[in-house]
Amino acid sequence: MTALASRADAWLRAACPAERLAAVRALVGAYATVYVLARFRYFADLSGLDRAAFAPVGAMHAWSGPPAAWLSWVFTAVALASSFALALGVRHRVTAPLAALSLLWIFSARSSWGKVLHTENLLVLHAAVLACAPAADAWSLDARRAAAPPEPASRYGWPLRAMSVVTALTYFVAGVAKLREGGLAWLSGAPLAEWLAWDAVRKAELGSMHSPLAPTLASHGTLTAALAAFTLAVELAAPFVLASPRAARAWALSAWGFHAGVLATMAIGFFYPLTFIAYVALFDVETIVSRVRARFSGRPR
Amino acid sequence: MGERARAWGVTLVLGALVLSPLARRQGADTDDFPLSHYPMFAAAGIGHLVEVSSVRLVHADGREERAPLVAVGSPEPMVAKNIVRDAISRGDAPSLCAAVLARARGPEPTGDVVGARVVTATFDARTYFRAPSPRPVSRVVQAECGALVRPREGL
Repeated sequence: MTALASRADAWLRAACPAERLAAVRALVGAYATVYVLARFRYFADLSGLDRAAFAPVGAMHAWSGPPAAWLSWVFTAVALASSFALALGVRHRVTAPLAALSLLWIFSARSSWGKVLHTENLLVLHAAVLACAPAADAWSLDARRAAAPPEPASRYGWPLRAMSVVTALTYFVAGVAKLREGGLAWLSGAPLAEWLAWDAVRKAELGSMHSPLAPTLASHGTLTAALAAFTLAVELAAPFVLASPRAARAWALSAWGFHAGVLATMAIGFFYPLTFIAYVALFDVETIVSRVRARFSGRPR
Repeated sequence: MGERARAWGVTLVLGALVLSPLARRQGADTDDFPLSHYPMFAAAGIGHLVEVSSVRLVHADGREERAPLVAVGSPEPMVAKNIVRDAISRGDAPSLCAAVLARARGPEPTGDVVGARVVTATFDARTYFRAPSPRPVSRVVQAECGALVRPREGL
């Protein structure tokens, strides 16, 4: 193995406490549970959609036409139950793959009517990584059977690295798309200003919520140029900050700021990143959970 | 499967899948899920004219209002918008018009909604928010259904 390959292997398979991966699993599972529960009918009831408008994406490529109406109810119920099981760490080897597949199915089905929504991509990809990982060896119902808490090991580290790689590459692809579609003109801020105004008008006409900041912002070229540069920097820099934990965490905060800005200026809520759960794999999240637990358990009765 | 093989296998396969849309032809029509090339807001030079297709319910006095999104087919505004756009491009605007009107009125129509129109309106984004009641630069009626009355002047 060359020195570079050894370094890459050491980075990918760095030893890590089982509790860190478990905390990430619990948070991703809890997010998926709440998300599916809050939009249960939206995902389950496809009966009102025009069958002629079916344009399959993702898992729906396997279907020759719109799936039977009852099937979406079943898959949504399975997604809800298995996401909850993922959060609790119940029968992880079975429920985690089930959660990943059923989430992929219901999100694919909903995006197969002419409008691909991008708010759920990372959640599905993260669930896929967790489905391949021993993420319920701690802080789970499965782990209650274990005699002793597991030692830190590389098997708990690589899934977090894999989730980070997937996260970073997702942003990178979005940045490359802007350069390919818009070229360097995107950096001028003019395309962003046009999109802000265009999106606000479209939403106002469709009866959707639009940001009151958009029209004002769209008329300030310097501001939109700065925001465009910030957007491209966040997206294109993502893969290059992974090697340094400190840089990766700074990037995560910037990416969160980017989504907060998108929410404020375009009224588009990417809730998975906005809750910060999309980035927890980059942090020593178990120490935060331990501190919170210690604080509450140390309270005088 | 050994742990090293699994670690590298999962990371490389998922990483390659996430990057794979870059090899596809770009454009909104080639988008997919969850492997996307994120075409939204990527293009430059879209201009200031915004074309929006929607279904309008028409009241007995000629007044128009936007049809509820659920009646169009989705509570999600962007999905509803695409349902209308796709129906127009397929030549199905008349049947969409009838379906939305039926859903909006319900099984036992009560209000004074007498018909519906599928409309494509174009707005100027530069002036839209300055006007108290923005008017379209142009407006094309794609389909009408129900017992319609003449629209109010200026609409």
